[in-house]
Amino acid sequence: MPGTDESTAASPTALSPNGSDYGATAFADGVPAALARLLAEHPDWSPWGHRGYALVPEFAPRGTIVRTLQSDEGGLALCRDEYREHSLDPRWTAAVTGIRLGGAERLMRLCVQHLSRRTVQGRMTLAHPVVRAHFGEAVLDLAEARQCADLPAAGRTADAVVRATLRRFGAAGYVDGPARRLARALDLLSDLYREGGPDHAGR
Amino acid sequence: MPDDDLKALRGIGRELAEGLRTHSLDVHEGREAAEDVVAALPAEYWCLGLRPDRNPKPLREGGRTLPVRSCREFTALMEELCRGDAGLALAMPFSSMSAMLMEQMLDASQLDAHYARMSERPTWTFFALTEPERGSDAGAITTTLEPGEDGAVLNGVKRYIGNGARAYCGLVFARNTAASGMFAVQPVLVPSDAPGFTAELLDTMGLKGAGLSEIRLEGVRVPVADGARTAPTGLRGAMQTFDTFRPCVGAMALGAGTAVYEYVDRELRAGAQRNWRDRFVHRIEATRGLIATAAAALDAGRGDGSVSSAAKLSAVRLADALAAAAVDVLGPAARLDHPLIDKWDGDIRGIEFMEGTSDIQRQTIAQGWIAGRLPLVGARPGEGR
Ligand SMILES: Cc1cc2nc3c(=O)[nH]c(=O)nc-3n(C[C@H](O)[C@H](O)[C@H](O)COP(=O)(O)OP(=O)(O)OC[C@H]3O[C@@H](n4cnc5c(N)ncnc54)[C@H](O)[C@@H]3O)c2cc1C
Repeated sequence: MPGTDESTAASPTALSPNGSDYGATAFADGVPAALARLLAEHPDWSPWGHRGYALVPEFAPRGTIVRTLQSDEGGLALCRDEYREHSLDPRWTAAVTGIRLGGAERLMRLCVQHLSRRTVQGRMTLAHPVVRAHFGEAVLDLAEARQCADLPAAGRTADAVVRATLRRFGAAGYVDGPARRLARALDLLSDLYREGGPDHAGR
Repeated sequence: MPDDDLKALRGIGRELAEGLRTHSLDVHEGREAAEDVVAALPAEYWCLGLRPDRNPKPLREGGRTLPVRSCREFTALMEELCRGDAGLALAMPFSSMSAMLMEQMLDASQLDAHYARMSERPTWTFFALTEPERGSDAGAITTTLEPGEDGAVLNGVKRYIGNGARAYCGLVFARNTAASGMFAVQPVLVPSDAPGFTAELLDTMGLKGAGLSEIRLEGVRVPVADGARTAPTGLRGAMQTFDTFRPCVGAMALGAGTAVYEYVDRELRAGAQRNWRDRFVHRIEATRGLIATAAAALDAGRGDGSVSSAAKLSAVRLADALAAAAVDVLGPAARLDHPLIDKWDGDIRGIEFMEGTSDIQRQTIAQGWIAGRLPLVGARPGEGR
């Protein structure tokens, strides 16, 4: 994904040790592309998530399609097979955590682009210190998460960054558009591939 | 209103909310129109909020009339309705800020026609300030009002406007090209059947009942009088209305958050339930106290923007924390297994933007406190609850 006018470093230092993971694809090309790459490279890994749901590229559905999610980056299919309730594959889940982190950073980039086109009291909204501080925090959170071996914790960080960043769009992130669609895909990935068994809730 | 009446009002709100809840998912998923849900309610509910002397169908309980006019009454009812469904609560004609402002804007004959209409069928109005490029920075709006010989002409686009596509008229904030300074931005009454007026519903993440719309104004002619009558109040007048309305938005967030709280509470086993309650029950009470304090201050004529902001921000923060925690606590696939929770999460995220984002509220609170208008010591907790 291209940076904004403000990104000047010719060869920036990546804060992540594993910049070539699926998160990098999610960041550069979007969630559908990252999932497609994951499927293509690891056809033997199971994409089934919790309770027999899977979120996969629209061109590779499985089981019954519950609904589809469209975006400029490609379509996704939410699929279900109730016989797959317990087939969570930790390798897939780990890769999806990377995608969630990369997707969160992609959402931040979209937000930067959005806020650099808006003004508040005659100044670019992106230049407002309160707004900048958000990005500072979020970058640090994601950088730590990418270094973190605790995948559930890294996933929770991605969720929090997505939530806080979508809020940064103001009402523009509340109506249909690229930001909301990306955030929705990331919310569903979190829901389906998050660590923690079905009894986590004490139900 | 005496406390007993306030309690009765809450009781009526709770009952109505239960009915609204049964339509939540159908409206959210587009199987049912929010307008039809409202139209099927008894007329008392469309007429909520009307001036008691003009209300042909007031709410009654045990032989007494229950008005919904003060901030305390409004916040109590809104909290209960949003406990059922925040989207449908916003589909109720009385819940728009425009309903309040219309009374100040309409002349006697317009007001008669307005009330007659309100008692015949559900009637919505809108309040159009935000533009695609101007939200928090409301003072910089670009919609123009150009006065001419026989009226004035409006041009511009408004976005994220509640009721925009279903209202019969509403208030448009525009920049008067013949004025300057703080009064240049002024509200103008615009009927939605005026030539050059078009409105289109937007696809939102939640709060479908709010009917968020985009309004286009292309050479819309308005009588000069409708703009000129309000010129002295301008944007500043509107900001005062925001201050009044903000605790009501807080009550919406509190109601929506409480719905999440109660839902999760019912789903959990004993141990987890205890943790859940420990985490949130006191916060809910504290927020309710702040809203009651702000509402009582406004009713007593001691309202202050920073107190209103504190009430709203507290509720929005709480509701957001509840929604995020619910998805976590209910476990994997919670959004799919509990579609109401997923929907309410979307609703709650929208309430944050109404009457200004949390960043703006934080700054207002800080200003109020620094200037000594928001003392923390000496305030009576839950005053007026
Ligand atoms: C459900 C809903 C109902 C609504 N109803 C109406 C309605 O009926 N009528 C109407 O006119 N509008 C309505 N709105 C629009 C609402 O008033 C705006 O969304 C709100 O004012 C924020 O503006 P924005 O969305 O353009 O965000 P922006 O102003 O673009 O803000 C983007 C980000 O920048 C931050 N930011 C902006 N300025 C500052 C600052 N000075 N300091 C710190 N941070 C800042 C914000 O906090 C946010 O994070 C509604 C919106 C929603 C979601």
